[in-house]
Amino acid sequence: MIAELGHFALITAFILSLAQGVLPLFGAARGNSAMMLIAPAAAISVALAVAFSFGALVWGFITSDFSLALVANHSHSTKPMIYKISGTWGNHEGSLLLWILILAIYGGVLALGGSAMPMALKARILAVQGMVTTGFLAFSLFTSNPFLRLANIPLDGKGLNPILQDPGLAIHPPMLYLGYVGLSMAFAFAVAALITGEVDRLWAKWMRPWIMAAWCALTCGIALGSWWAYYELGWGGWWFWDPVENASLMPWLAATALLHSAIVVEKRGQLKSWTVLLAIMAFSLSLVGTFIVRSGLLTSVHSFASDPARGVFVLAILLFAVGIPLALYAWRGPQLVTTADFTLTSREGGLIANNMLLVVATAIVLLGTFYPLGLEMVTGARITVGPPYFDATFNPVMALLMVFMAIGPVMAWRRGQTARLRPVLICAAVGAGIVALAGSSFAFGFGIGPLAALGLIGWLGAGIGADIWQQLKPNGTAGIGARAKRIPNDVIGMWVAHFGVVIFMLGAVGDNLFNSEQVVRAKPGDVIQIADRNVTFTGVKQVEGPNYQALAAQLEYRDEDGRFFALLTPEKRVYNAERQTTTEAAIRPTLRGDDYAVLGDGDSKIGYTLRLYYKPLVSWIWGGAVIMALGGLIAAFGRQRAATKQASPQQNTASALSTPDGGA
Amino acid sequence: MSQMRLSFLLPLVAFGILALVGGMALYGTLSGSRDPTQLPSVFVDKPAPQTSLPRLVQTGSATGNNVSVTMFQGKPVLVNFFASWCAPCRAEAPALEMLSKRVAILGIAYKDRGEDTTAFLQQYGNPFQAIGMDADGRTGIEWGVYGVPETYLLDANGVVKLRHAGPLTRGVLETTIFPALEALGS
Amino acid sequence: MMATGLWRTHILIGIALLNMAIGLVFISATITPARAITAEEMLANPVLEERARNLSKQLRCLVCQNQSIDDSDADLARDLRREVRSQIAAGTSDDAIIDQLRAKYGDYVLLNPPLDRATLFLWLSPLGFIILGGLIVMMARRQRGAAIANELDAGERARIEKMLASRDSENRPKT
Repeated sequence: MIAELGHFALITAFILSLAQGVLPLFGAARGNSAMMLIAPAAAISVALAVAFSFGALVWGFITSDFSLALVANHSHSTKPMIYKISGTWGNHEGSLLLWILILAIYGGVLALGGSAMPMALKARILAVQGMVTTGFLAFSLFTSNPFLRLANIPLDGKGLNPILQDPGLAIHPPMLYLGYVGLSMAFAFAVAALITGEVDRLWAKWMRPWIMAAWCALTCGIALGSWWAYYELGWGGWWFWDPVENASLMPWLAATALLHSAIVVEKRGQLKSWTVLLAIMAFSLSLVGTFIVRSGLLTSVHSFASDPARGVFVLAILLFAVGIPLALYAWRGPQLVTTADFTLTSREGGLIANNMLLVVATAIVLLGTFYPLGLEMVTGARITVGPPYFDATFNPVMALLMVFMAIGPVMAWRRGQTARLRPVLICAAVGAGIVALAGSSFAFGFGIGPLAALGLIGWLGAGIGADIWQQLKPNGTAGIGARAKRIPNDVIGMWVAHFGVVIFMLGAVGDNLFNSEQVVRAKPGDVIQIADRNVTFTGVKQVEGPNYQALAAQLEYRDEDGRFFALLTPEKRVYNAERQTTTEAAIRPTLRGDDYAVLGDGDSKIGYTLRLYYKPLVSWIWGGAVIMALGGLIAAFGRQRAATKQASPQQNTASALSTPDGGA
Repeated sequence: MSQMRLSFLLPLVAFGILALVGGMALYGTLSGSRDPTQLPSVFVDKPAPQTSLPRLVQTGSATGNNVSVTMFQGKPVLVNFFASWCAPCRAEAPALEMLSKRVAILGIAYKDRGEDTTAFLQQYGNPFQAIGMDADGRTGIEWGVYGVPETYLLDANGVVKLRHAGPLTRGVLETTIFPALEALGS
Repeated sequence: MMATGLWRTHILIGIALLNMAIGLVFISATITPARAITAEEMLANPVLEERARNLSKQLRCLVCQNQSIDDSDADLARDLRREVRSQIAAGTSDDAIIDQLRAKYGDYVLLNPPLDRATLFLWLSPLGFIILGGLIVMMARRQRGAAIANELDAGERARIEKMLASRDSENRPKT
């Protein structure tokens, strides 16, 4: 009954979002307020309807309603409740409904807020949003209905893939979707701007919180996914250049470029057409990601069950949602071009360099991901483009970006100047040298690559530090405290976010260069040495879990003085319902590094294979990403401080509207 | 101005290429002309690898110690990699039985033990003219085998004409194997 | 015309770029932790074992979804790892081992796509993208430069010159 109501709510949402997508555009074109007001009303209704529908589906999973085909195929009565709930989106149909839910909620939030926006602009934005939502609702209702019932109700479900029964999975997709789908708002802003042919600084100002929210969520979502792969897949790796990972990285790169270029539009009124293009590209890449995951064309450890027929529907959505705006851009884009009034050696130039490098990186990942498919279509040959390719092409571009990261924020707008720049450059260069030398003293004989990586870390870290010091040091008229109070939030956010990059690099480089590993076949009583630890393998124990049986190795960790400090129990689990075996690594994370232990094959006679690792600083990888997101959050609440210093908001609005490129 | 216009068209063109590739791939997969699970073999239109393997001794015939592909020189031959532990191999047993009347089949037991292979053949029938034992899978690697069952069709000169990965179903026989056999005049 | 201070900055940036932009290319080739390997598989000689693991990282597990044979627990991965190690122990060079496996399984088995006619576009594109990006930026600036020049026509420019000249004479300090 509830599922049928949920289905009905979904159909209602489809009709409402269709209205939301079409009518307000006519209203905005004719200045008809009644038609324009349909937009927020419809958006809120759609959000409520989809929320109810999603709730109905979750209810089906919670109550283990096996008459629902989806629940029967992906759940089991003995699953812990949290995984019953998260199982809702551990499959294609449910995750698609989650995607639609977040789309609808974003639209609803804009409908409720955004009171400063002119009605016509808001109507157009919500209309574009509505069209995208309609497309996805159609996808769900016509090809991927989550509410299908089974004629013969099974006694119990088929269970959820054990690898997915994990707290990381519970949060990873919702967080990721908050990012992917959040970019649809920036997309809607951009398409609305193309429809009217006008972009102004207020437009960029209103768009900014949506970009930041999506970017922060996407950063966290990708970090979560990477961390989950690290502890769940048992290899200790955290990035594999897998097509689905690439699908999440590409929108992130584009969104990073977007949030930087939007700054230039907001502050200087420059780079308008470029920002519009980036906003379209970022969400388009989210959609391309959806295509990759759900069409089954690219093999990946992450794909849902592949179904080419669904791929056709996603391709159709892509053609409309990406093709039309890009055509619009080709037509209307040149109208948005403004005359440049800056030299290339200025902050604008630095941000252009940032954007160019990020877009090149995005293009590299896109090409590498699709090249095997493209080549196969042309010549029939099958090749693989794997991590070695991306390491050779993507990493140097990112390295260049890091170089500019220390320089760009220090340059002045318009003409650039060297007074502030030179001390920062000197500090950065010195920092680079120190870290490179210090790092290489830890381990002999480093090659050029590792030295360069260490140098980059020192360069960026020292550069940021020098910039901060320059801004804070007492300069005769004000002490540190007074100077600190005057720094706007978005500058603090930038420092924090860029610092997050340094932390991330320290983690990546620390783990890659300084890790230790031991692979042994051990019998009970054996002592294995790894890094500065002595590990005693005392044997294996049978463990019974809620829905699995496990063999757990008992590893006693002692430090150099023989003091016991941890017991690690890596497991090999057999899940009853799904009849699948998984390996659960035992990880002891600390700030200094992770102890990582994996139990391999074997028995009591010949002993067990044990793989022990010590990974220095590896959690800094995800810590750095979280710090980056934090910086974004700080910057999102950005203009508060600066605004109170300048004219009041009303005056700002009035002055902006009086300029030729005023709001729509 | 036209240079500028061109660069505004670039994103649309790039997207068009991407959509085209995706569309072609989807079309191919849906129409069946493209099977992503089939890896094209490197040996097609090349001589088969030189292989000499211990023969599986069955009660009765035991002429010579090793089997090799050259034994079948002068007529087309199917080389079928199978194993007793491989479920799809059981499914293709009837197909092999039927094929054995048209063409000689050399069976290679991949990573199998003699007694297990014998038991398998007793249960599901023996369509093979001869059987070689590839106990450690090294021969499989020589041939570029990546799973069982896999079937290679060689012409009279020992040149590989096609490779099929996966069980020989009715559909595969009709679309792939029979036409190839006819082309070889068998 | 740039001030000397700016030139020095450019030189500093250039040197920094040269030193730093070599990048993380070699990082993944340094220390490679063992993934799916068992103790018995490992070669006794650590140098040879290191070679084996680096090679394994470049070879694709054909029955897995996007893993190297170093990472995968699959049987075929184990067989290929063993094959790689036996070839290394027999003294075969890294390139020869890659070529041998390529001759049996095709380019699909290589995680690092080879450089040949089919992949020329793939390998040249990254540099091509950077050049294209630079060209677009420069083209855009030239267009805008032209636009600025076109904004004022001759008559308007003359009037502005006159206005500026009269203002300058007013502002000249009284000597």
